[in-house]
Amino acid sequence: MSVLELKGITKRFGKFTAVEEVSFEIREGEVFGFIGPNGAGKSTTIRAIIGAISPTSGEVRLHGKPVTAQPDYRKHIAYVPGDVQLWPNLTGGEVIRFFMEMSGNADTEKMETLIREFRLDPKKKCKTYSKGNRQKVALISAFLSDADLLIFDEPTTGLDPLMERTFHRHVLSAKSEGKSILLSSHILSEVEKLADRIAIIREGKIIETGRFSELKHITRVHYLVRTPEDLAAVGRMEGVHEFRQEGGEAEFLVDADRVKDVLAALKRYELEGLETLPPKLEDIFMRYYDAGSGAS
Amino acid sequence: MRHYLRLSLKDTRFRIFWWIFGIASLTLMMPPSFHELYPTQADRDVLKATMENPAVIAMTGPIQEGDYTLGVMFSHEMAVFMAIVVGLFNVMIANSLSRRKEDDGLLEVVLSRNITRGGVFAAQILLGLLMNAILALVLFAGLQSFGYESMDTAGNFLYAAHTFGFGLFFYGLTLLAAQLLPSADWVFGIVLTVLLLGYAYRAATDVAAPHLSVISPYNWISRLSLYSENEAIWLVPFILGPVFLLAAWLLFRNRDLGDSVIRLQMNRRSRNIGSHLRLAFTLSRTLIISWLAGMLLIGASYGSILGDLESFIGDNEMLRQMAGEGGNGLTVQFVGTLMVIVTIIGLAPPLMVMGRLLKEERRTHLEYLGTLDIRRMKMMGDYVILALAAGFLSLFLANAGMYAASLGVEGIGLTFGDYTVSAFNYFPAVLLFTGLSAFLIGLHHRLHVLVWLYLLYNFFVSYLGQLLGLDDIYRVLTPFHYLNETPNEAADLLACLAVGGTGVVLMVLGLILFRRRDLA
Repeated sequence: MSVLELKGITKRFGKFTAVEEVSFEIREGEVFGFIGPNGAGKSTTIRAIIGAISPTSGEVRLHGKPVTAQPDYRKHIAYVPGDVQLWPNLTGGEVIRFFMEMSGNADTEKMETLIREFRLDPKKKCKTYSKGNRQKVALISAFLSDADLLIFDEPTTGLDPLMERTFHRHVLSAKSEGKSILLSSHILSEVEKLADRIAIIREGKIIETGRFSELKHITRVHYLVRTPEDLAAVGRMEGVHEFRQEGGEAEFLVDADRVKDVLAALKRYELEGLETLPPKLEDIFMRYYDAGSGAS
Repeated sequence: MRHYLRLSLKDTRFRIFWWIFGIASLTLMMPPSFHELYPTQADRDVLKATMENPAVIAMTGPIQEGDYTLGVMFSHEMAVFMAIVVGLFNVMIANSLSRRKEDDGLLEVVLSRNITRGGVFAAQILLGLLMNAILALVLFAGLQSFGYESMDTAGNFLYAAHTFGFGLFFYGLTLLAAQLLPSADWVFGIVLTVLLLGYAYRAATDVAAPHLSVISPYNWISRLSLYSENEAIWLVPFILGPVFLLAAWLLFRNRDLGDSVIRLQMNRRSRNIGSHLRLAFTLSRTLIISWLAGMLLIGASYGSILGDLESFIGDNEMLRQMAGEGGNGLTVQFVGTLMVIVTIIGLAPPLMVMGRLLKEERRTHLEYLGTLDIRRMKMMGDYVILALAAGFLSLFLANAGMYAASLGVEGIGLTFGDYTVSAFNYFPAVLLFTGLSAFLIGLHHRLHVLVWLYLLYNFFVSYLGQLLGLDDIYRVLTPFHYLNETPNEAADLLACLAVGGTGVVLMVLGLILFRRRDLA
């Protein structure tokens, strides 16, 4: 059963269309990755879900009912904004407690555990916090809530790798409790690690939705090869892009569905080293842009 | 530095333009209208006789010796008063360029980009000099263009020069406070207090003890004797402006960004904020409490001159006649005027509290709070509650201050009950302004400035209306046309209900609109 369903959400600001016909659904106990470059419409979509703006057309449904018919639907939601702004003169602890009070939660033990795990000093005023620390306050508050839909907008941009891992762990534990998670990000590896399904948004429109494995074909793998031989022939193969070779090093991108052929071809050369770099979001989009420019 | 100056200029030029435009047009509107209203010296002498009373002196400063020429009249009625506006202009621009930029972290970014502290500070000073110089030039050119006999070049120059000096005084004071105090809100609060208390102090001392008045910068303007003796020597104290700037530079040069000389860091235990109303109160507490303290002081300083009014009326045969038998009438009438003015000042805190709601929206807090299932109605409603409470307490405390400070004066014949009734009588104005504020916020997040302009309009009409006998038609657009003037008249319950009811209707509309509108 779907927890959240978006049906043809369109939002216009004057003449500018921020998102157009955005539709997707998030099922119970699922982590849903929402990816796209800056300005693609991720935040606008999220703001429509949480009711900060009302869509020009289309419908947001929670637990099968339109949110306009359930004024208190947001008690099912916990949200962590992309740019967490807190009250400069309140301490982090005061903010977390306020959020707990507002959602009727009194589990101070869990609060202390989370504060410890995220290594937050709750006695300091929010104005002294770095971006990462402000994010921790919001994350702790979200993980403390009883909401069954957690919405994270670029949640790890200010966190160090260690805290990122803590965050990932808590996302998975929330998932195991049956909660649903909307994870907006432009870090593909993070989404790949956590998300069961993803939607890709570009210029206000959803261009792909599905399981990550199904979408592998749209990604590109980045290879770094050290070899004394000339790989120009590989560079000319179908599905190989941005081929460069200088001295003993070649670098290129391969469409994910062509990796097999390219690796087979590489076998014939004498290789001193082969490095695979994780696909980056821009690599995905490059493919779309390439396709777009090729057609025109 | 040049680049940073250009950037700052681009950032503030519209605000500066509107301030200069407003101040200049308001000032330059006056000499021709005075000329029209009081064309002959005889007319002006009659006016002068009626104005020589503590009530007017408290508002405009002492009247110069000698003929009440057009120039003298203009400077007497406008200079001290416009100084408040010029001061406010400087405080707001200076604060936005210094501490506000620092609080927002922009100064840190700028300083990391090969612009020195000296450069940043020089840009701040230059902008202050520039805007005050432009204002002074516009005023000088405008005043010169009239060509009235009693408004000669020397007088016009001095008028422009004192505007420059007074403006720079508060520009400098604000920059200094920006180094001393820990946040832009503090800077604005403290310097605004100096600006308003300076005026209130001058009002009290001008009437009660003129020699003590000299501490207030407003009094230096009176002492310039514009358009008669032209005592330019009283420009000298305005040197303090540059002195403040120098002190500010010495502090800024060696200070950590984000730090301040006075830390105000209280180590208190963690508060438990269990509701949105508590949150809203926590956020606006400092603002509300400092305004309430200010209102009490303003009321007290006005109350303290009532005694002198009595003795003054005792000496003056004409005023005695005007006031009717016993001379009490005039004091009570004066109290009535003061109550209107105090009410208008007391309308500022509710509007500032409502402004906090917008600030919460701008900082995306409302969006965030929305996900806690706090409804928009509740968000705005809680700020409306706080605004109304702040408004009522402002009126009440100002009236209580007036009452307390005039306790020693015999024979005013006003009881504490009369003052309380007055606070209730004018409370519908608080409802109206808060309602208008809520309505504008509900319409769009950028419209709130209109309610401030309306407040300014109310102030001018009430203030100038008193001095000039301005046509009643201007008052029709203010609530004070409808509300009876306590304690001269009994409160008109029907008028109270009408004004207050309008406010409530606007409030409800605001709440409904705000519920549906997109957040910024």
